[in-house]
Formats: sequence, structure tokens, C-alpha cells
Amino acid sequence: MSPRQATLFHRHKDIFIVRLVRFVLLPLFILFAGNAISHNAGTALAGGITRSCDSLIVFEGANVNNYIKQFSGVTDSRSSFDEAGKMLALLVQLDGLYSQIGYGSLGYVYIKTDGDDSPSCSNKQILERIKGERCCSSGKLQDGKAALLLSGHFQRVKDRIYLLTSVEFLRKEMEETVSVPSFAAENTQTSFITQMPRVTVSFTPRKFTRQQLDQVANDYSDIMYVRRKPSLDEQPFKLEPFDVDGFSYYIEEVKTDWIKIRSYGYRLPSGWVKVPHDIGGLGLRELLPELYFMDATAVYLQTRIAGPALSPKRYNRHLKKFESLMKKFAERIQGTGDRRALGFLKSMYAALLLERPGPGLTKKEIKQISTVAAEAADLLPTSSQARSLAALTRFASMSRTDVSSFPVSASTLEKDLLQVLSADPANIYVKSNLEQLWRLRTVKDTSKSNWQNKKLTALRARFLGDAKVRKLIRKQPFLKDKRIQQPVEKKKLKDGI
Amino acid sequence: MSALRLITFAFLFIVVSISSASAQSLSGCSGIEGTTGPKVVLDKLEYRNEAGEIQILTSDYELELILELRSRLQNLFPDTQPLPVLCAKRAPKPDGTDFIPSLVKTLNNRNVLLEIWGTIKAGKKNGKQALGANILMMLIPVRYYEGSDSQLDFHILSYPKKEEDDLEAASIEIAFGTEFNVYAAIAHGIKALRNNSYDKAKKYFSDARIQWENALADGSLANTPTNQDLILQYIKNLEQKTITEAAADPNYSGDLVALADMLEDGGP
Repeated sequence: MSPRQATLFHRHKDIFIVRLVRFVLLPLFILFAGNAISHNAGTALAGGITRSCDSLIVFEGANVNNYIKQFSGVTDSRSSFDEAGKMLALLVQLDGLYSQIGYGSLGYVYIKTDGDDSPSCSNKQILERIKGERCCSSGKLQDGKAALLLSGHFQRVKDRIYLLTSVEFLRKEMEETVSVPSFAAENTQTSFITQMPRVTVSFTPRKFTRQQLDQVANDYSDIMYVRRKPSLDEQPFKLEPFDVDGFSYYIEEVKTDWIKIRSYGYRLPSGWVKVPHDIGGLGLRELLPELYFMDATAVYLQTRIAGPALSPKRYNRHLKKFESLMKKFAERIQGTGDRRALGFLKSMYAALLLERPGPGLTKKEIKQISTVAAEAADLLPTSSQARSLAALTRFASMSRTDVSSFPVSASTLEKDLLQVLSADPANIYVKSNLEQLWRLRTVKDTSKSNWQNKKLTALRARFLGDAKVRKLIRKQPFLKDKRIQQPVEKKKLKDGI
Repeated sequence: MSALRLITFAFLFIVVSISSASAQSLSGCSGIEGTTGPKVVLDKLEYRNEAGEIQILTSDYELELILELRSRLQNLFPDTQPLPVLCAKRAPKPDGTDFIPSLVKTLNNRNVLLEIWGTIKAGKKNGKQALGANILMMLIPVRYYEGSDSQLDFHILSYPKKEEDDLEAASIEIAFGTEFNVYAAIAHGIKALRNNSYDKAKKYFSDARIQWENALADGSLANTPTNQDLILQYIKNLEQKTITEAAADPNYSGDLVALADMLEDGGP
């Protein structure tokens, strides 16, 4: 081999090695490391990590995965934007670490976008990746589990920061519904199933100064000390949360006022961290009250996903936590967007109260639920789901108070649901609830009113012609009574299908 | 060249100049041409002190307005998320005569739903700081499809002076009150109806009606030369029109018509 050939050979060899590392070994390492991390939260109590839009991670063992997308936006200085915008989203991630301990397994993923507004960083594509519908993420959301995405539009003018955040959530392969007992028949379980309002909310824009943000960052930074044992007498090691690669950890153990974290980064220490008594006292939540909303939503999801596995005592503890977070958010409402967000929380609260374990809802309890659902509908006047929930719980409350009021309360509910449907004609839940109500009326309405006219019979047949409506009706428990009259049209339709 | 031909050329020149001037007046409005999605245009919203002088409320007032507008639009229309477009230098005349057919056509083609401008007025009431406003809104699809004879395309909202602790927050609330929600829903509904999306159109019109009825009940609407009941009737007519058109469309298979039939006598 000539010297020239040798030089060329070595050059090509170097290029080959660089390419091998860059395009083969590194992606493989990321893939395997990601999978290992995604399973960690199955045993860990919570975890947080920083990833880019196209290499997302899902903590498969966590009931709820929270995603905080780096805020997009513009500023008068690109570098300062990167710094302040990133710090803000990292603070949100850090805040989550402390606020959710004790309410189930959670994942916190900080999505690094570098201010990138490309389609791969759109909320739609991120949610599709989390669900496993789009390539590629390490792990995918399990059926029934939830993901919450916080994104924001950040603008900084000199030392003033403006932030518009929005939150949306999804549950994998599961409609978010709640069952409302009818109380229309004694000693029988007849209920309605209604859809929860789809949570996608933009909060009232926030405004604060760079100094305020720095102060909050300092406050968080000051408490980030890791110790070998859960004792203040132990020597502390400083944990820098605003590291260039973000703050990546998972929680191994929890004791009163202390959490044991294990860092994913080799340069970051692991050990015990003292949890502040009042997370609100660190100031971030005064700047961003939506964090109370996010926490409340996470508690709601944790509670509903855990469902029957929770003891009544534990369920009530979750409920108290939700109430407290909702109250704190309500106290900090700044405008229209926040009022809408409170409407979502109220409807979640009604659902949690409806599903509270116990011997059965008392008159007082169902009345309270009805009031909460009505408040939610007032705050979400154009949500057909919120209006349905209010109408159904009002009916339940009336029936629970006085069973003999059935003819009047049924007629009112019928009108309410038809009004909701006329504004949202594709809503299959309202259709199936109407059918459920009509079946109840067939059995329970002794008023001899001529409510089963031709128009109604035709409408019932039309609804029952929809396979999705029929499927929903089958899911709804109904009193077992031979007197129930199936509409003739349904039988015909069944025969024809 | 005959005098007639000269007059014709002069006339054409004027028409072309006016058209291009209309288009130019939108040239500084970033985002208006960018996407085909629905948009709401926020023009100049002046802030005047008690002496009637133009003042700066805060240095970032426009930014705060546009962020609030973005938030409102995301909440009102989560599925379509109309884009807020700031045209801070554009100030149409208070009588709406700037909206000549060529400009309205341009705006409608660019999927502009609503254009907003006006004046916020600070002052005193009972010795305390107070705020009033004149907000003007042009519903582009209404003007385009119904023409300038429509009484419901252009709205002048007058808010009498009211004591306010926080002028800045109050001025933002005034700019995007219930009327904004309702007019944006009407404009969105008209667009949906033109695309034969009857269920969507009905949803938008019903949303508009519910909000208008609620505001009528709690008396929170601004003063306006247009009768408030007339607007309610207009929305109801749009709902009825949607059902009529759905009934006449052989491709429509939804339940709107059957439901309307059921509800026409006040339900079963």
C-alpha cells in the first residue's frame, strides 16, 4: 500500500467509525437505555427525564405520564429566550416532583424543543407518539393509562415575560366517562353513562418579570441538596436542576418529608432530598396557578385509574387532595381561560364524588354532586358533556329525594337532553341516555301522559339504528323487569341487521 | 383617443388603485396570508386618556391583547383553533365604510372570521378611575355572503364608563366580551354551513345562541345600536337555515332534521 493509499484508507476508516458510532451504535444505545428507563417507573414511585420531540419516553408503569413541552415563542434576544424559557419549563418539571408524592406512580418528561415549531414537535404528533401510533418513542402508553401535556407560548420583552399555557390530556383506548345512578327505581341499579368534558384548555395569559423568575429558580435551587440518609445532619451535596441536559431522575423511596431520588445522569448525585412543606411557598405557583390545575387533573386521573383498588380511606385522601388543589386554583383565577379551567375541575370533582366508594349516595351527597355539576355547566356553557352531566345529576337528585316525582323529572331530563343533542347532534352518549330514559319511562311513568308519540318512536328507531349507540346501551345497567317494553322499531332493526 | 375611452381608463385606474390600497392595508398584518385556517384580525385598539389624548397603557399592550385573543380562540374553538392576527397599524373608519367589496372578498378568501378595532377610554367616575370603550367588529362572512345591506355584519359596541381597579385587565376583558364569543361563533358557523358541514354549523350557532341568551339574562351585553333581540332572532334563523339546508341535502345522513322535528312542538 502506497503512503497515499494508506492515508486514504485511514481517512475512510475514521469516517466509517464515526458513522458507525453516530448512526448505529448511538441510536441503539438510546433505544436500549430508553426502554430500561421506561420500565423503571413500573417499580419506581415517580420519574422525570428530559427528551427531544422525536425520542420521547413513556414510563409504562406509571398511571399518569406528565409531559412538559419546552415553551415556544419569540423574544428580543434568542439566547436569553432559550435560557428563560427552558428554565421555566424545567421548574414546572421540578415542581411536579414534590407535589405528587403519595398519589400514585407518575412520570414527568420534559420535552426539549429548542424553540422548534416543526410538525414533529406539534402537540398532535407528540400525543400520537405517546399513544404508540407514531414512530418513535421508548415505551408506549398502556390501555387505560393517561398522559397530560402542558405546552406554552412564551414571549419575553426586555425583563418582562408573558406566557400562555395550555393543557390537554388523553387516556389510551378509553373514553373518559362516568356513571350516574338514576335512583328512579328502588332496590335496583339503573344508571346512565355520560362522557366527561374533553379537557383542552388555554389559561389566562400570565405576566411576570425575569427577576421574579430568577427568584423562584433560586428558591428551588436552594432546596436541591442530596444527602446519603434522610437527615439534615448528613452532609449535603448540591444538585443542579438547571443542568444543560435537564433534570433526569426517578424516585425510589418516600419517607415523611423525604424522597430518595436516583439520577439518570452519571454526573448527577443520587440520594435523599428534603421535600418542602409548602410547595406553593416557593413562588412558582403564584406565577403559574395552572400548576394547581395540572396537579388536580393528575390526582383525578390517578384516582380514576386506580379505581376499585383504592380503599375508601385512600380514596377519601385523594378526594381531599383534589378539593384542596381545586380550591387553590379557584382562589387564583385571573380571567376567562382560568374560569373555563375551573369548569373542567368542577366536572372532574363531580365524577370523583359520584364514584366515591361506600354504601350508596345519600340525598345530601347527590344534591351536592348535582350542585357541583351545575356549576361546571355554568362555567362551560357550550360543553354538551358538562350540560349532560348537570342534567343527569339533577335528575338523580330529584329522584333520590322523591321517587314519586319521576314523571316530572323524567320529562325535564328528556327536554334537557334533547336540547343538548340539538346543539351536538352526533353525541352518541346523549342518544343512549335518552334511550335509557325512555325505557325507564315505559316502566315507571304512571302518569298516563301520552309521551310515546309517533315522532318519538321514529327518533328512537333512528338512534337505535346506530351500532355505537346500541353498544353503549348494552353497557348501561338496567333494572331487570319483565314489564320493560322494547320499542317495536328496535326489534325490526335487530332483525334487519 | 376619445374622451369616453379616457374616462374608462381613469375609472379602471381608480378601481385598481383602491383594490391595491385595500390589499396593501393588510400587508403589515403578519400571519394573514400564512395559512388557510380561520383567523381573527385585531386592528388598532387605541387607548385614550380623559382628555381624549392617545396614550400608552403599557408598553406591551398589543402583546397582551394578542395573547388573550389566542387564549380565547383556543378555548372557544379547540378543534379549529383560529389564528389571531395582529394588524396594529390598521384602523378602519368607525363607520365601517372601508370594507369595500374587494377588500371583504380578500378577507373572506383568507378565511378571516372577524375584524376588531376601536378605542378604550379612561376617565373618572365617582372620583375613582374608570374605563369605557367603543369596540367595533366586522363579521367578514356575514358581510361577504349577505352584502352590506345586512344589518348584522357590523357592530358598534359601546361600554359606558365603569369604575375599575385594574385598568389593564378591564380593557382586555372589554375587548373580548360575550359579543366577541358570539360573533366569532356566528362567523365560524356561516363558514361551516357554506361547506355543508351542517352538524358543525348547528353547534356553532347553538353555542352563539346559548351565550347570547345567558348574557341577555344577566344584562352583561354592551350598548349597541342593533336591537339585542334582533341578534337573537338572527341566530335562531341561522339554526333553522342549517336544518332546512340539511333536510334538502341528499348527502346528509345526520339526525339534525329528525331532532328539529321532535323539538318543534316543544318536545315530546
